[in-house]
Amino acid sequence: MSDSVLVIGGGIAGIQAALDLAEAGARVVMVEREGTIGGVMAVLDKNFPTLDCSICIEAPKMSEVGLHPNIEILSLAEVVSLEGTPSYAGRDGGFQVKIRQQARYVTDACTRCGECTTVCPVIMPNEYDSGMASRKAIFTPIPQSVPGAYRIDIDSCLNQPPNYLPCNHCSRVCPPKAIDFSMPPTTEIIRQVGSVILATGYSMLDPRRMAEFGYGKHPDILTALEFERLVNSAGPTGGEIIRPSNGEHPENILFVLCVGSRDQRFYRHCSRFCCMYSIKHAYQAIDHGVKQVDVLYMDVRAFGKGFDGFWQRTRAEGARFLRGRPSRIAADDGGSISVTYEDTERAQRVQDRYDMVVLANAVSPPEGLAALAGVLGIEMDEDGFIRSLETYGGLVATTRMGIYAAGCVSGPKDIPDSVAEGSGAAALALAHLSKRYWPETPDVEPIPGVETPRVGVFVCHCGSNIAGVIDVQRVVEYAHGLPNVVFASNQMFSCAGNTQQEIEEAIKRENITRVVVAACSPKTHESIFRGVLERAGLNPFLLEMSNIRNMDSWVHKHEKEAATQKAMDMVRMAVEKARRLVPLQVSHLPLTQTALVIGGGIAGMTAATALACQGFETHLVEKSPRLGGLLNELEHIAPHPDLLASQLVQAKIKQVAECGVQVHLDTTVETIGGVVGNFHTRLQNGTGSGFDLTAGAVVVATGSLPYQPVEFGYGMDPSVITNLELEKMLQEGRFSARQVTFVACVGSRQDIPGNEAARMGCSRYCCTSMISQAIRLRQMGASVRLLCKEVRTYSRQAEELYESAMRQGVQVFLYDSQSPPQHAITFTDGYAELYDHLLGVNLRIPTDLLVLVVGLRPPQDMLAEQLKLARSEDGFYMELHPKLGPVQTAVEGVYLAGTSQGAKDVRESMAQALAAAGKAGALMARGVIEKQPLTARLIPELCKGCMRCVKVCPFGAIEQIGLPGKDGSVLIHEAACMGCGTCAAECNFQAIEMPYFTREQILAQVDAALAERPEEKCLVFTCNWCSYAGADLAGIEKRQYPPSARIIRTMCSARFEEDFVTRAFENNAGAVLVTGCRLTETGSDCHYNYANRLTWKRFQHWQRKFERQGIVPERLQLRWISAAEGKEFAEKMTEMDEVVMKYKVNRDTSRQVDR
Amino acid sequence: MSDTTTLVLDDANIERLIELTDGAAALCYQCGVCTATCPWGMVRDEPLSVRTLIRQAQLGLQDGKIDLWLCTTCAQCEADCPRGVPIVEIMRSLRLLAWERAAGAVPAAVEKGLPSLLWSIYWNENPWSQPPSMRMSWAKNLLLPAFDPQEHEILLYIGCTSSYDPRAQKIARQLVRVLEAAGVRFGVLGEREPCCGEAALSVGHRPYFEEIARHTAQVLSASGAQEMVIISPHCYDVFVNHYPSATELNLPAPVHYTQHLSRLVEQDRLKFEHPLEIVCTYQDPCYLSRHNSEYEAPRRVLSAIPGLQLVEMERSRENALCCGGGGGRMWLDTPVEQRFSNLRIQDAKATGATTLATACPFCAVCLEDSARLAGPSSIQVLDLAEIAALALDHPAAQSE
Repeated sequence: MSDSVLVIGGGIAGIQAALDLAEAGARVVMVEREGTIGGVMAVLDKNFPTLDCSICIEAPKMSEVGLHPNIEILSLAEVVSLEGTPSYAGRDGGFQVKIRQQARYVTDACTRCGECTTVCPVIMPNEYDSGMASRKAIFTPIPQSVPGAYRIDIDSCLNQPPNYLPCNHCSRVCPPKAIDFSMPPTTEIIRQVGSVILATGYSMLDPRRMAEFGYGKHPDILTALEFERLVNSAGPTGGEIIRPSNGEHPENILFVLCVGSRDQRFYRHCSRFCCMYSIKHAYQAIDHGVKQVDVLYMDVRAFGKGFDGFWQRTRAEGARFLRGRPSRIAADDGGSISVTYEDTERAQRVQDRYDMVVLANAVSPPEGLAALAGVLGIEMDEDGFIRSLETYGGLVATTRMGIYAAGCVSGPKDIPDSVAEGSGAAALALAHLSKRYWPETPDVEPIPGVETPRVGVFVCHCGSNIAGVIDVQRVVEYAHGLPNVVFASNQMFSCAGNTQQEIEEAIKRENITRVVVAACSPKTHESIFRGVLERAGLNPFLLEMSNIRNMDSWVHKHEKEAATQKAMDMVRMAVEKARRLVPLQVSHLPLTQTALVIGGGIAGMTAATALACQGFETHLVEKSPRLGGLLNELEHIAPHPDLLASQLVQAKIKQVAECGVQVHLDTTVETIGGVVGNFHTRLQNGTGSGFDLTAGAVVVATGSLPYQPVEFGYGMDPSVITNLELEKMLQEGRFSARQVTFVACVGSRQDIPGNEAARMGCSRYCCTSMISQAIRLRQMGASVRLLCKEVRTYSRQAEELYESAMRQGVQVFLYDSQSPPQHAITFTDGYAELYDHLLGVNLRIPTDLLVLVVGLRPPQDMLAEQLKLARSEDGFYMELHPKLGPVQTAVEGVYLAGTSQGAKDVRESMAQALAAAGKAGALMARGVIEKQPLTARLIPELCKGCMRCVKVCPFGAIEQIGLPGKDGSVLIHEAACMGCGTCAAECNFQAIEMPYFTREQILAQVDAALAERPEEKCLVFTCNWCSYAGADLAGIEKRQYPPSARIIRTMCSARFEEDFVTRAFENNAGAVLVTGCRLTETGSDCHYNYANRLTWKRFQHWQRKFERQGIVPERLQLRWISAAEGKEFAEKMTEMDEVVMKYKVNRDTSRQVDR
Repeated sequence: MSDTTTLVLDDANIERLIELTDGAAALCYQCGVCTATCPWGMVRDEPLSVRTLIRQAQLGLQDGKIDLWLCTTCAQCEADCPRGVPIVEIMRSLRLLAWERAAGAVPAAVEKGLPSLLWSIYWNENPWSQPPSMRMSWAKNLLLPAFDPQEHEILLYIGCTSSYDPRAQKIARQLVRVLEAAGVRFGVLGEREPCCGEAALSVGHRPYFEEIARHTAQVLSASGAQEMVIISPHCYDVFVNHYPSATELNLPAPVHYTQHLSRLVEQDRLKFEHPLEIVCTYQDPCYLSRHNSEYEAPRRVLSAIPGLQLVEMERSRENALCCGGGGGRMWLDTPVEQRFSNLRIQDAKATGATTLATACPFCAVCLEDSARLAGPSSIQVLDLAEIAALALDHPAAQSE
């Protein structure tokens, strides 16, 4: 009997697994070797191809893990033993895990003030900056660390023997006395779990092992991860690309691919994501003004959605892609770097000089994996990654029941694949649990009379962090004089355990009904203080925090008086908002615990099985008379050496039956509608009879269609067939050709003539599948030639398969990657002819069978329209987020599995299907949908039925009822609403209210901020996820800026209304700055499905409108700021201050003139 | 694209090449590291496009445009090849195809001068066009016993170059001194010593090499020797890697002389009593180092010499630059300005060394030529055997 899962590794795969498990009511023990969770993703700058800020999108998930009551994080910890067997629902069993944890030497009393770091005399290289910057012996790895307390690296600490002359600098200055050297160095912890998820990520090859590449011999030869830190604005150079050797900007940079990958001396595998991050690096280098950017590659493996387009764009920006591989990289006489390679397209030996060289070093199994695999009793493969049981769950199932793998531990993969596997592993792990657990809110006597605002203000000293700059006593006195304030006091550490108790008691004693805590960031501490309110018997939403540390004392260190004034303003803003707060209730919405899976291919079967195994009633609908989908037409499943398609299909059909999935063959979806929790569908079976079904969640696994070629006389010439027809031929033993030529990328990686809108990307499955067919034909004695744009054997064991095909004499030819195949290749009189780029000659290839390797096309069904699913440029269904939401859609409760979301191979389809089952399972587990009360509320009597909100809602959560106009109205589906507030800002009739961020509350904040000397102030609207976090970071990094900013936080920038700006200028604000998550041509960091596009549109309108009213555009600005851009935030504030000063001076003078 | 030539793939050619090279060329994914790393790129505007050669081999195309005979078989490309393609082997196979064509209608398929190399081996049992009767002329006034398995620990195999080339003869003589000083009981085959055939193999004529090897193997196994100490790494390589397996014919086990000296030093039989106050750098001969992974033995011997300071060139061990003498190049003309050995002398001088040591007669000949060209203040080129001899406690005897 167990309700717990052990997750080993806190990178993005482990984080995703933990969150899905916790959401589904499992308790999670997360073991992380480092001091913080986050993994490699936390040190990356941007993600490809959207250029999302990596930490901006990961940090919210990290803190969610840190705050989730079901998740226990054991950092600095390792698993030392595991005993037992997996448990199954209703049966005994379970693993006993022993975990060894190293001491942090810092208790949870740590307030992250950083005083200790300032005084610590030990300087060490900072691992998170790849050693390019320093840290102290007491430190926090990254500002967003979870767990948040600092830690001591005891091996370098001077207090540690043999350094027995005690140092103790840190413990002397630590205000809350959080440093405790008496902790035992290690503790052993025992936990009982039902299943295990292994997500320990990867390591990278030390390029010093490749002496000819010069790494370690010249400071400007960097690894990709070092370059990543160099372009990061929170990195060692503040985002400047500079040469470590001399601090100057490089004129030119060379990026080198396949450093130790695809190399039999090191790793034979393809490391899968280096091509794309190197393209991203090239793009960023150009963006940073580097004049010449070159990339040396062999095959560009840009196989994901939008990847080829990103590559094209990077080339268009001016990056040169050269086909070749360096033989030698070394320092030259002039201090720069000499690189020798052959440009294989021109057959020229080149020796060039570069100021900087960046090596894309190979992904290797994580350090210590062999030992851990031994502890867990699971097998590894020949490369040292985890071996998978592919018939069971793609790469997710290990060789031991109850232990699952996610992310790079089973081979290199990028973020979305790791996230999908995290969810997928969670789905499988859940099947072993016999009970679920959801924390309950404490049952306490409620505070009476909450209708009347009686505000209590608590101002925190945060040791000297706040009190050292701000005169806290004066702020408290000031607070006393504010309306409805019945109590105000100062506290040394508001968040400390006993101080929390103090607040609790004050609430009860003084009958406080609204609480203002003026301390640090709500992003880290809001949930703590909400807990205090709950324990005191007060609704947790009656709290408002004022961030006078990160946004005041830390950033105005030298302007104590101005900082104190600002703190008073900030407290007033908080009090004004608090007075208007009302109790809000978490709602529980109905949900049908039934899953509907549409499509009976490998993805649909996998998803259905995983859902049924979690205990849900699951319906699998397949329009054809048999399960298996496209796999029924295949014989082998490449690159697996001996997995037959029929074998896999049979295994899956058996699992479907065993788990009790209700299969509806020969059945189509006639109509489908409704919202999350209750989708209503009418199904129609072959006999013509229909039936209705209500499902809480829907998994769309409708697959894709093979491209029907028109090229090379297909259909008329019997010697031209498709790869699928070849497969059939082989199955039926009809194959007799002697000279076979394959043409890859038919219908993939090209614009289709006459359909310019369809931008088809790489179809992913085809290179590997083609090579597997080629080997079979070769073994039958045929001459086999492959004509390719590039060979994209990126998946696990696929590169090895490619190598084996070549060894057996399969010949590969490259044709122009910019041309569709029918332009680059001709096929006449039994000869295929093409220009061979590698020899520089035209080649005629005798061919008696031409095999067209066809791409995958989006599904042709009406689900998208009925379910309001978006499609991406190529026509496939669009996922919620290309990195972190690979299986969700913008429609809550609808998940994507398999190729309906985009081309992929069988393993990837299965991983995504498991992920969809994990997500759907997490949604349905509790039987209700728990919703935070921040969703939009309609005030029906004000609604005029204009339907503008319906149009702008990024989640399709608002339904039109009746015709537009006077009679019509709308219905906001609370379950589907995500709370961004786009609709409220759009409504001209104030008919939509955003709880906790109401119009009235925000206007009150505006008024409060501008009550005194408004012309000296800049009002800054921030969004919760990025720009507010950026402002927070500016504080953490102690970046000083003028104290004129007054910051107002909402959830999303699309919440900002024109009236807020109008009110600000009516109040004579010096300037107004609108901020939000970054929006670029390539994508958006927005946490609400591109809602900030609307912010941008509205802002342009406002700027024009206010200019007509005499507000020069300088005074009303917009700036996208990511959560990692503390420096940029501070710089922008300085700039805005100059604007304020400029117009204040002007007005002063104009007033004098008036007089 | 329109003005480029069109070639037609021919399956028969492809299958023949696959057979000849055991499919080795097929593995190449055309990254071009071989072309980039090939030393010819450092001395010529037009590099030796190794990649294109391999591509042609992959596709069974024969296009005489690329000069097959430039390759010194130094195997630098193999060391850097990420696919593990045995390029030297493929090079030899391509050369064999050229010999086949030369034997037919295209005599120009083979570089001028190479047929006479083979004829010399045929008539003189050495590639140096010297009479067989002069084979012992290197020994001058030394009295060397004929090998007797009852009496001798080892058979000393001199090889053709050390037997006939005036520069290399010195190496053989000094090695004899060192062996004597260590009290090694050894004998030679004298005029009966057969040619190992490496020259024929390196220019790609495998059938003729095999014929030579059969004969030589018989002579060597008939000698009754258990162990054979060899001067040239080229001879050593064919004995180790290309001769019929030792067990079958009971061939004496091949040992390179630096390996033997290292063993003697280790056993304390060879003692260097005379300190040599020199700064010395060591040239790894391709056939000892990259082809046979022997990097340590020569360095151990040099390090055992008191006073000698061993410094490394930047390109050393796996990345050591070839002297230019392998692959049949000893018998072909290389324009003075295109000799790798010129660069190697610069490399050696850059270390501050006064002595450049090597352990291969080809290296000694080529490097000394370039050192002489570089002027009188240049570095001294010595074979390791010669340096060892200098460090023996017989300063008076150091006549040469």
